[in-house]
Amino acid sequence: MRTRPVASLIVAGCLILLASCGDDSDAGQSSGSNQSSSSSVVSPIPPVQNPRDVAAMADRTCELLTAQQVEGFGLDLSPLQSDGLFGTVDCEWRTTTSDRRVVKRLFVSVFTNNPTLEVVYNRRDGFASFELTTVGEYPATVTRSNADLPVCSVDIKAAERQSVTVTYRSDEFDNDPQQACVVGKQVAEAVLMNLPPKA
Amino acid sequence: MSVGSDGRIGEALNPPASAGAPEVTSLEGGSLLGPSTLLPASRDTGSILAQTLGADAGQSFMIDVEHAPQSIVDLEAAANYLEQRANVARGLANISPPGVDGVSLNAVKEIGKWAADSGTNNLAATLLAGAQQLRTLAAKLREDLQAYLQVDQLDLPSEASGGLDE
Repeated sequence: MRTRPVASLIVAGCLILLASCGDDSDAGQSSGSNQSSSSSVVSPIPPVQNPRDVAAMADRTCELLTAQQVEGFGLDLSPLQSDGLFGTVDCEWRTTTSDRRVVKRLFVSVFTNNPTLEVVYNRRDGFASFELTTVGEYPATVTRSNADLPVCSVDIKAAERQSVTVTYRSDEFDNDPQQACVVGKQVAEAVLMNLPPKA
Repeated sequence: MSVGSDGRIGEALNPPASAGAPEVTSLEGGSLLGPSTLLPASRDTGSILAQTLGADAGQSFMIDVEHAPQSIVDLEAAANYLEQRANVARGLANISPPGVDGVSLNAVKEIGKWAADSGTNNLAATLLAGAQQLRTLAAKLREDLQAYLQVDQLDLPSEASGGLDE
């Protein structure tokens, strides 16, 4: 007699668990179906016509600007390397004044197996500014996360699932932060053209 | 005349009368205690500190001339470090979901939102804003020290303090 209520409770608990599992499962399927339906939509990021080999330079990103280009952009010649994501290497150039202030900064990083532009595009509403454009003949996104700061990121799709990201900051644009994107795109194009063609 | 960690601190500690060194005084009330080598900070610097650390922080404080050069270098090194971390945060936000299940999609969406969107609480924007504040404070300290020493350029230490590698 005493076991029946307990058994009922267990059954009830199981039903609740099953019901909640069913809810989660439904939610997951729903999200999944949404994903599959959204992935069937034509991507706003156009395909790349002449892919370039980002992977070949993933551990040599400091070679993506020539010394002449570095000088042309007013950056110091000696770049700094650091560990990037997924085994890649990030590279950074700076402009340091004679009194040791860093007044310009350029970061170059790469993805060798990631749909970067698609991800950035899906997050477009979260940026202070977002632009889908081309750099050279390659699809690119230009984003700023803070409208008040002269910091601009340019992501370029150099090949399917391969991308280069250039982030540029210059104090000279403190009063016109959007200008950081103008120079950022110029630097990004220079970086892109130094990538070897993909075989 | 310059000041730095290279032995020329003495000049700064006892600036010539012609330099017109200000006396140590309180900026906004309250008493300032300390050696006469301390330099009253400008109202601008005080207002930056007040905005960053709260109203009390900007009320009254002094800058130690002996340590100011190293502080400037350290502030700028910290700013550079934060900016570099912001760059990493941006990269993390751009990683695609590992699967098409709802959990993966939502996780990446949330990570992206917290890592690099333009909202007030996201990591990249916060790091960038912090870096900017530190840079601004360092710039004001530079101005204060240059004005006090009446020099166009400061002689700063070449390295940040330990633990502040960029």
